[in-house]
Amino acid sequence: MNPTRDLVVVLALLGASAIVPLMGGDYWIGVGISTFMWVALTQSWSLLSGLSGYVSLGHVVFYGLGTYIVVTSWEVVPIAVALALAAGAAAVFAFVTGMPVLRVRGPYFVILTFGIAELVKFVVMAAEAAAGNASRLILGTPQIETLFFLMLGLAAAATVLAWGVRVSRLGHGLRAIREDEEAAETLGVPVARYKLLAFVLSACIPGAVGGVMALRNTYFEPLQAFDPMISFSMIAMAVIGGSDDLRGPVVGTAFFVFLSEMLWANAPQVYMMMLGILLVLFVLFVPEGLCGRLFRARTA
Amino acid sequence: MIDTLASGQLLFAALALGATYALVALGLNLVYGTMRLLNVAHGDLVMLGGYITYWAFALGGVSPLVSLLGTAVAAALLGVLAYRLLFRAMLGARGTGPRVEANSLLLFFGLSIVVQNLAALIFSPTPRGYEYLSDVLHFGNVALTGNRLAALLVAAALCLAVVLFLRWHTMGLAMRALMEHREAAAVVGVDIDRIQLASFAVGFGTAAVAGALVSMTEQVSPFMGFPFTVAAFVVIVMGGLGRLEGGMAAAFALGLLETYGVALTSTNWRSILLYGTFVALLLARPQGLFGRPAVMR
Amino acid sequence: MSLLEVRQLSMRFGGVQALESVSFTVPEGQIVGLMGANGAGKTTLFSLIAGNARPTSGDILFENQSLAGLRPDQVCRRGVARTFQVVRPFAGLTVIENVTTAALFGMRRYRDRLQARDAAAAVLDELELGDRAEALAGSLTLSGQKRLEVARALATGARLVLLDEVMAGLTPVEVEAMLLTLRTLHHTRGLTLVVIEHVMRALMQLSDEILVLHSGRLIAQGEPQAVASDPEVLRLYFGEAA
Repeated sequence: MNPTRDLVVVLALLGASAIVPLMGGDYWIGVGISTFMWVALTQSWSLLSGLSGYVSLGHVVFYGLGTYIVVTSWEVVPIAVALALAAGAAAVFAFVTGMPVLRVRGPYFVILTFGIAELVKFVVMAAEAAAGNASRLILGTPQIETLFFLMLGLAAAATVLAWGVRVSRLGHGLRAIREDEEAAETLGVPVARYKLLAFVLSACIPGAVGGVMALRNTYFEPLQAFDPMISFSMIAMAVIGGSDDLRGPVVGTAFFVFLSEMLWANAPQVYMMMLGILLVLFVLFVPEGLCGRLFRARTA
Repeated sequence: MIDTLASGQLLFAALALGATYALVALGLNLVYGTMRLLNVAHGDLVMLGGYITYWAFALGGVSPLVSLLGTAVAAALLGVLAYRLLFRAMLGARGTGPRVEANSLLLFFGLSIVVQNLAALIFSPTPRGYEYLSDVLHFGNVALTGNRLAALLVAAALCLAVVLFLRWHTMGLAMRALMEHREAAAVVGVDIDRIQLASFAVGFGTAAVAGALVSMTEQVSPFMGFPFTVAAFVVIVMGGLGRLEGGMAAAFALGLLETYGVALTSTNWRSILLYGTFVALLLARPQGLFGRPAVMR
Repeated sequence: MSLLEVRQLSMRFGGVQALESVSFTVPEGQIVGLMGANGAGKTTLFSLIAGNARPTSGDILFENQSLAGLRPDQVCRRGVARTFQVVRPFAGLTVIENVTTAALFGMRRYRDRLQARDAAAAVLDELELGDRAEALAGSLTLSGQKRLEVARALATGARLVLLDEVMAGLTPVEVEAMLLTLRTLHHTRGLTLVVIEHVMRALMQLSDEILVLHSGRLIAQGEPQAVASDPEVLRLYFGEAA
């Protein structure tokens, strides 16, 4: 495994796709934005859940918070500040909830993260209802080309961050935690600190991504912004692409963006079903994902 | 406000809700207890039970109380199928451990997505309801609808039946043995595979029956399942794994909390109360359902 | 000086008195053997020293500083390492990655991953696992995994190593090999060892001093020959293989 080589490959791919706005129309720019969004989200999710084994089923909460921040601060602060706030708010939320949440192990952690995401969703819904908003609209958002490059930047940033963690001591420690947390701690790994760090790092970019998508959708509705299907899609793409590889999110995302372009407009349920079936099949038979199966050459 | 709160009607609604939760939790408890698998798709069985009952009534005019049996059997058979096809392989191949448990959770979640979307595809996402036994009955000062009363009675009876089964019937005892101590159960000759299969069947069946009962008073929709899974989970954590009697008490507590909580605030708060309790409980017991707080040899 | 001092250590949980007022010291550079029947409290003692569990009362001093309340990773960084009775390798990582983890995070805490890896490779050679460095830890034989446990503990740079039944399940030939390895390591690195073993012959040969635990209490302490002929010990363990 050579993370640095993989980093270069992914960045090259991302860089190459920068020509899309020059060639294609709005449709392809839109596809590009979706692709970059999922790459950024999936890469961030893998940073936590792939490396440490703590599977987060509620990662949409960071995305939703980011969206909410940008929408509520629209025309109050400049966009750049709003996006930074979005990432920051997600990080703070991760820090504050991370400490108690990460003490919970195994499957309970998984459903707890789901529960927290749903709780935040309903709280935001209640808050919006109390403020008299069924939904919110923002006007005068940046052009689609700007959003394209913003999202491209986030995908690149997520990949660089994931690379940075993987080649560092943090990454090494997280892998040990994944294998056997108690043994790792006995060998000197500061498990609580590392888990929290990974949790916070995995939250920042989804927060920013949510912020950019607020600009793209120009429309905020809690049920959509905190939709558990977003969490689920992240996981499916990560598992199918390979959650232990920097190229995994690209592989997983490419496949699903292609699929969704074909199915989403007419049969969103079929698309979700395919996602579900594929996740089930991969968890059962190819847990290492496509990258793991195709590229791994471990001695046994 | 005070009269509403003090009314027997609200209390009755809380009891009916509690009984439903108890029934749903029972099935999940059984599956988790015997196999250590958290079936997050459990609530979707409630949904399926609801839809079967709805269609039986809407198309065939069959009373929910009659179609109950058919629904339960259908769901139990589905449980057998699911066990044979999917889970036997999964359990055997990997053994147990936190990683496998987390993976199996993803598996169930994936299945849940498939089932929910399949239902949405076939039945369309719009919620459906029907009227049955909705005439109001009067007991003293308390006015209640027949369907709620029926739901309460059936749910309570079924819970009692399952508890008795686990206490007195050989297979029930074997299930409890498996829940208490897996290895020991195998040593004394319990046929683990058969018991797990039976647990799955009973788990699926009871959930579907709960769905049938719910369909009498609430609308069914493809995505209605998850709150039931969460509620069941809250009940299990509160009541203690494998302790089904504790689960009953916890279920009624949850029913009371939700019903009175909503009455005091608004329906918007129903989900906040449910998920809030869920999160608070899990944070208060980070060792989950089994462990003791971290002290080991 | 005494490297490790255990004072009136008691541990009670779930209604069981696992350890009761256990006190002893371990001088630097010694090999201390710890024996006792299953459930006597040996592994509990290790868990308490290493920080995996908290005692009900009593204190543990390492290099004259209390280890009370420290987390396992903090204890490790002070210079104490332990192995687990049931081996716990990082099965999905390679052998060298396992040991590199210890080198990165233990006492030495190499800044550089490459340095840590080199140090790990050296330790692997000392334990004759060098040729299996790139294999997945989960694929090793039991003997190999036991060696890996020891390698990891060593790579942390610890001065006090607690070995929990590293010879259990090994063939007589493997036991001899492990004995030789441990003696060599003790000699070349100046380690202080506390060793739990059921293989009596090995324990007697290896230890400078032996502690005997029974039902959580320290019932005998002294040189191997003295302990082996102690009437109390004989009474309790009559028939145990020697």
